[in-house]
Amino acid sequence: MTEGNLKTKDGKYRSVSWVVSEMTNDAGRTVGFVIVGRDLTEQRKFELQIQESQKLASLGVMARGIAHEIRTPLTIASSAAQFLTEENLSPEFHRECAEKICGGIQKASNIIENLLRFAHPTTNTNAMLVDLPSVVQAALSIIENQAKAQNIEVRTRLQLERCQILGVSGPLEQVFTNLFLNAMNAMPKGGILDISTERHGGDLLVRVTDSGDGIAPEDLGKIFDPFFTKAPGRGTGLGLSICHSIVDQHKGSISVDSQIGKGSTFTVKLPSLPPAKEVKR
Amino acid sequence: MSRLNRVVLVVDDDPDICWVLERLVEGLKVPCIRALDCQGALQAARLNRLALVLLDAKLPDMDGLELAGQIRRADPGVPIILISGYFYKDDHIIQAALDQKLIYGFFEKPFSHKEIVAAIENALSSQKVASGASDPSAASPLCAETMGAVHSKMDFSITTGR
Repeated sequence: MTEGNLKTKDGKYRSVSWVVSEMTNDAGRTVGFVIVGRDLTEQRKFELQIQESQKLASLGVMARGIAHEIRTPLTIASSAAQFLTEENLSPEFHRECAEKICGGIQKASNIIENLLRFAHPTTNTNAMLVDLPSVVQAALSIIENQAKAQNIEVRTRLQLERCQILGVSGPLEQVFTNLFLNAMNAMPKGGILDISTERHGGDLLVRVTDSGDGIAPEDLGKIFDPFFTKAPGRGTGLGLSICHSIVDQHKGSISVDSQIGKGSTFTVKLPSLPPAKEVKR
Repeated sequence: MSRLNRVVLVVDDDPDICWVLERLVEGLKVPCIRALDCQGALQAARLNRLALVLLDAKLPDMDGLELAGQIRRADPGVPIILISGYFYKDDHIIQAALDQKLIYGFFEKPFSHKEIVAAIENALSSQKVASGASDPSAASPLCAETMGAVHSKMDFSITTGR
């Protein structure tokens, strides 16, 4: 079966699928062909409509996600401000309200910044030599205390030689911080967070493995979608989509393997510099 | 303002939202407890006599409306006010929940303190009337009402002044 365009009398094109069947006689010799062309115009229209409705559905999920995330800190700031209009407040409560207002505004601002990063990820115009294990270590230092508090054991196996890439360290650090936090969210009752780096051909791989509940097969295809989350209280649902976007900007890829009840492994693959171009450590 | 030892349960995964709602409820001299997730809320519902539930729509371990269903099945009389930034007031999901009397009312975040306190008082009064009546349906006459941002379609909501 093949597809092609047919030009109609009025100069328009129609998409047609062609199926060619061979006709043979009793002796098995080919005596002709049957060629059937099927006009795909209506099917294409239908497919386009489905795509549009899928886009709209994604936009709806995204809009609800943004609304939920931003309205929560706005509510805290708004309510604290309403409390401040009451009379006879203690100085302590007054200060608490002021802190809640500032905290709420800061949180809303952080969410907006994340959205901007998602929409316009940093390009590689400022790319420079980046030592990948150092970036991973920097991200680890951010989550260390939280891991301890959550009773999560962090295991690292970082290859330290020939691990430089061309990139931007800030966004890359955000990728690993997000992946670590995501893994920790999967282990609310504690567990093991295993982080390793290794060279694989011309690529550097960073594996982030958790011993959490795992991801349901039907959700695996959606986890990098903006605002997709199975734990709405614990994150915006933007973390993994931002990771995907930043890694993509670095000409890399990110994949996930997961087993229900056993945990998940996220693998970030980034193109490494050829050894000759690497700077000695 | 005694409510026969009943408590108001605040369910929200954000401790700061709980801080706001607790202060508003306690301002009415009504005891208030909080739960940060659905499991905590269900446990609180088992251990306490609830006068009212103030419920967030998005929680870490279950959808808020699903939790509303479970609470209502266990205690059909308890009014639930959904407070959410995820929905808008004429959202079809919210309208359906109101029509099915799954929830007593709905507030969008951010909310006006004056309006939400009035709604809390209404809900508490309606419960008091309903629990005092020999036939609970006898307390459901009359005034479905809409007050500003509040959308309430429970039949037995009765307005009281502060």
